[in-house]
Amino acid sequence: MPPRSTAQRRLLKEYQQLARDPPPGIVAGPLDEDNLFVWECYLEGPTDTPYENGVFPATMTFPKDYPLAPPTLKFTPALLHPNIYKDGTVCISILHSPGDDPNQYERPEERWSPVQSIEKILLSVVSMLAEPNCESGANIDACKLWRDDREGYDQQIRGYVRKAMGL
Amino acid sequence: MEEASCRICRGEGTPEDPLFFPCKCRGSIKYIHQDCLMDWLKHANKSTQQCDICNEPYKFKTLFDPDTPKGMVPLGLIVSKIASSVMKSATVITSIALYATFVVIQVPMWWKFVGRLYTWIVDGQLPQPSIVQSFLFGQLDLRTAFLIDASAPVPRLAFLWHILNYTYSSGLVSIVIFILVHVFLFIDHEWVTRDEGYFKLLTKRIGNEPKRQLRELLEQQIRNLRQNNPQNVENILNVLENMNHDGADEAIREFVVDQVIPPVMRQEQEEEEEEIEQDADTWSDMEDFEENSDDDSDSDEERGRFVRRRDVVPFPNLDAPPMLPQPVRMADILNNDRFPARNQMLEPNPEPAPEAPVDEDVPEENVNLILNIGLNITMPLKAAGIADAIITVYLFVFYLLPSIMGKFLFASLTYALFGVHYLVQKTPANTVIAFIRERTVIIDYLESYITTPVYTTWSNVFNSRVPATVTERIIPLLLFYGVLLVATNAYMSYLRGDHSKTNPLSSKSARMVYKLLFEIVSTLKVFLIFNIELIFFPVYCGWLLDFCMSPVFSPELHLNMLLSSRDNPCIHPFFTNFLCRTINYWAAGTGYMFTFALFVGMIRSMILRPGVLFFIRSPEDPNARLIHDALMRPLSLQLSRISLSGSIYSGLIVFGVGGFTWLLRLATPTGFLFPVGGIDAKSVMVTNFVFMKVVHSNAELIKTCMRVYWKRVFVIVCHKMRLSSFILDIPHPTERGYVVYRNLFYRLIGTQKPDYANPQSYELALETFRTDPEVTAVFVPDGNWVRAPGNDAISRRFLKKLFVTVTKGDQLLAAPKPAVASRRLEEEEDEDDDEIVDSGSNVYSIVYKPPRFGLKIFGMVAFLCAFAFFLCVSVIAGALICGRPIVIALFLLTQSFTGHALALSGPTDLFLPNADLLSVSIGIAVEVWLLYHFKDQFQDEELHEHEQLQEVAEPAMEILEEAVPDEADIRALIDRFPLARHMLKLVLLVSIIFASGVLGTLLSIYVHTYSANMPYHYFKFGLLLTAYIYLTWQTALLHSLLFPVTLAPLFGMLTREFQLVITHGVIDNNLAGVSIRELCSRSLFPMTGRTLALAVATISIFMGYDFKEQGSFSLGRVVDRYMLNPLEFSFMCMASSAAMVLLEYTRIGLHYLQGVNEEVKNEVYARGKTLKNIDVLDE
Repeated sequence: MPPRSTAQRRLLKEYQQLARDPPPGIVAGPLDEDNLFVWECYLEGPTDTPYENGVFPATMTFPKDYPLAPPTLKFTPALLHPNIYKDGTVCISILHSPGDDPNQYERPEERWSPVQSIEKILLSVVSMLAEPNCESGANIDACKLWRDDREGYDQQIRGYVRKAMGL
Repeated sequence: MEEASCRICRGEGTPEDPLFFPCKCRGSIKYIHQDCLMDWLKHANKSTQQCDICNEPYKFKTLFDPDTPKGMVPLGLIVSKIASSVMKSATVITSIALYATFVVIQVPMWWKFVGRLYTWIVDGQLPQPSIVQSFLFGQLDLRTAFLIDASAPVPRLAFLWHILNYTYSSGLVSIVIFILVHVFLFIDHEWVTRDEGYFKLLTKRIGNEPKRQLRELLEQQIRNLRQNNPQNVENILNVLENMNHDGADEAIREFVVDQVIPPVMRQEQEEEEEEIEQDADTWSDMEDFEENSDDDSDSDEERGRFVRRRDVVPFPNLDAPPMLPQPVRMADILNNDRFPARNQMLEPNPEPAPEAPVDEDVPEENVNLILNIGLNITMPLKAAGIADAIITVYLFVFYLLPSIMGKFLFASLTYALFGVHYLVQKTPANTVIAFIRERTVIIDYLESYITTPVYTTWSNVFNSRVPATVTERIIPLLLFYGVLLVATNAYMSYLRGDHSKTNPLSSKSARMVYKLLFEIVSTLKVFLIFNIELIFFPVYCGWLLDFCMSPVFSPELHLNMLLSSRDNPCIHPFFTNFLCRTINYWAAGTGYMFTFALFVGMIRSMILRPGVLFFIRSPEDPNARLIHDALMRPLSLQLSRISLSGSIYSGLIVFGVGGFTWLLRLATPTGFLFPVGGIDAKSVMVTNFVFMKVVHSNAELIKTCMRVYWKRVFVIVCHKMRLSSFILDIPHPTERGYVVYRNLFYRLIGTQKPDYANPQSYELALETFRTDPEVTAVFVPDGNWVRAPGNDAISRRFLKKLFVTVTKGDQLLAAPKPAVASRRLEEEEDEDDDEIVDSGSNVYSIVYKPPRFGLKIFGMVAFLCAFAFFLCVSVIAGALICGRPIVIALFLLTQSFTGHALALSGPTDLFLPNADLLSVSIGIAVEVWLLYHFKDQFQDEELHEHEQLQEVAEPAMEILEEAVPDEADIRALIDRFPLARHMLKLVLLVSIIFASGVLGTLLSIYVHTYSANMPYHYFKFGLLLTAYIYLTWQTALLHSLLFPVTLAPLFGMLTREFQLVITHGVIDNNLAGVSIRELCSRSLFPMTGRTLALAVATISIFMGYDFKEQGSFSLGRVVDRYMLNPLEFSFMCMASSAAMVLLEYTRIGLHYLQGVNEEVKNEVYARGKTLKNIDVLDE
């Protein structure tokens, strides 16, 4: 079935681009070639962080009117991080459309625009893993832990990574 | 480098869909498809269309057909375009004109016609011989109105004029008053019914709304259900659910379940099943729709709605009541009317509404919708018809019926009253009439305005004569309304019975009637009180003021239309009629009351001891609730309060103002000051421009000055009256008694001060005089200390405990009087309960109260009035002294170069013995200027007085020491001695304002006056000159025509240049920083230039006038003298303005044509819009 909508065309382009020239530590692609709107991504934990050596699977879901509206990214399974909700959904400004800003935290230019791309989103998420932003936290417990007990936080993450790797 | 791709869809450019670069972004996000951008802009829904990254606004250009003509499009297209727009605007204009005709002309006429028709019904006969004339002229006596024989034909113009004057204008006034009254009544009603006190009062009268039985309600609901709509079962179930939560009666629930649900259950079920199928169909339709329009952003929302609809469990399960989208609340059940709407909402949603087609008519339709009037031909007719119908019904209900009933009442009442009398006296009615007359001829006023009309009305009823005056018609109306009011009150108290808060009125219909009547009565009560306070009272004050101020103004003044009722030939009678005068009175009275309130506020906050004016409510009082108070307090109490303040105001005006004016007038029949004369339109304009500007920009300064003056006055007066402690809270030991002198000689001459440290009683003092020949004066203390309110916001209950005699140490001298336990008082207090309960403001202070306190207070007020009057007189006299020389100088100046007096009404007026407005206003400007420069003298006078003296003295000493100063030294001297510099700048100020500003003003006004008046007088009277600006309709038209040419430039000049002078020039603080040269270049030169230009125009008028006097007009002589005849000059003024207008219209026309050309191009040749590319120089 040839892609018809703008969203499908663009997703196909981006998929081709990512496949041709993959950024380091990131693998992403549609789960099913017939449905380009759900992607599976694997993110490598950034070095010099507790997430190091981990590979974190996530699902990216695109709306029908992509790229006008941003996709959503959800870590499966959920990840302990100040900016990730307990169900695994990532809360990051690049994934928020310019219209809705409940807290007025984010500047318009930080938010979603069709100019962004999947590659940029994933890179942003990787850098978010390295540097959490507790000012607009999504997981309060993680925020507290990260702020007050960095050691414990790091240890929990490392334990999780180790367990995920089957060690 | 990879190939260019769209930054949104990542696609390449194609010939059909090329890539654009409409913003400053470069690199991989440089390009964009137009469609993608449009989609994004639509999605982002931002107010400004600009790039998110570089914030560059996107620009579009219209794409035109390749064969679009370069310049003008073909004429046919333009013509058709103009024709269509003319057609459109013609419709709009016609309908607006129709509206205007109907609303402005037809409706008032209709009001009068209907009113007259009803009047005839009441009278039983026509006022005029023919029915048409009766309609057109009503009660007007045609013979006196036209001043002609009845047999002679009525001049057509006069005929029309009387229709216009007598019927139309009064109809218009009626309509306007009608609308105003009803709007105010409506607002008043809203205020009253929203006031918390309203419900409190209602509850107090008839108790709370009885709780309706739940069972009753449900039964009613079920009845409705059975009859109408089985779907409401859902709602019932929901109610049951709510009842469960509220712990309501289980029995009712069972009752409902048993009685209601089974009969309707089956039907309900079937319906719901059908609904599901329907839903499913719609759902699949919906999916198709979505596939066809993937990028339709609305589809998500639509789907959401359908999903929600599906979630509704379509079966009324008793154990798990269905979840409605919004649970129905109990309140909704109580209100049955809401069910239809709700049911509609529950209906399956039909096909999604098609998107409204976007076309060009939309904005226009919107405009029409906003105006809420259909701009077509039939709508005005309909609107007028509705208005007429409303008027007919309204007048029938509120005029015809009451009139007839009132007449009937009047007749029966008089029969009842005089029937008895007749029986007793056995005399005919005439004797009774004579009896009434004999008894009631007390005051002419009463007779002419009350008894005679009543008597006439009465005899009219008996003799079936037609009433001759409005009053005679109003009396039966008033009677009827009065009886109606009394009856309503009686009925209400009957309804109320002995019901109260604890014993509520339970009958539903009685409650409803009572509530309705209570609403009407409360609204009318508040309306009445507000009317008295806001309209009647100011008019009364204005009337008093007119009486008191009339000695001040000379009778020949043109201003007398403002205050007095004297006729003036120069003013159209319209301005002196009853309504206009009432409005003037109202304005004057309101102004007076406002000024007085300002004064009271000033002394309250700045001068007096807090709590002295406890009986006047402060405007800043946060507890003031006008509506609430007007509603809650009994009417009689409020009326007595209003009459009390009315008598205080009357006393203040009559004695405080009128006493002095009349005294001064009588004492100086041809006095220096009074009467004020010499006011004409020119000086009024000068006053407005110069005086208002100067005074306004120095308002703060004047306020300070007033404050200082009044502080001084209060200190002096209070000390004289021994009230310093009470009024000002300044303890003055010497005030606590009086001085007894040995005899009259020592009293007058005596220099010996009494020994204040050794006060004695009067007897002891006499004793001392006898024993000690040295002592000639002895201090005898009297009076006592009292508790006085220490705050303006004290409660009334607390006040009752005050004003008791105490010692200085706040020990009660006498036992407090037992509180008078009157029932009425208590009731009153109950109603005021919620007034002020703040105990923190209930403070009192201990002050000294001299004997004969009331007399002393009265004396103080009298002294204050005298000082106020002294202030006014001295300000005016001072202004006259300052201003008169300037006016004379100005007069001589203008006279010297024009040969005519420009400034004033005539040369004889110059040396008027009494005040003229021009001098006074100029003088006041000078006074303000003086105040400004000596403000340090009176600001914090006590503190600075000493320093000030030193400051002035030191430089003076230095000046004396200086040797012969050279120029630099003079400059230094000027700098060091501020007064000299100020004097220099004062001279400059005077020269700037008067040489250019005032002179320019006068000249402009002169040009205007003459070019407006000369043609008028020439054609009307054959004369060429007039001294006055006549205010008639014709000249008003002429003035408005000439205004843009003569006076409008002046306004511009004045606002600009005076701004300069005042903000940067002499009067402002920046004075020191502005050099004289700067002042000249900024203000003097441009002003002088303009003034000269105007002067040339004026001179030409005058020379032309001379010319006309001398002989006939010929072109040769004009060329000889380079002058124009004044008539020609006027025509030239008009011609030039016409030429200007013509030029302007040509310009507008060309502009319009261009606009049409562009529009046609856009309509006919446009092939869409395209983005504009932006080139940015790389590096």
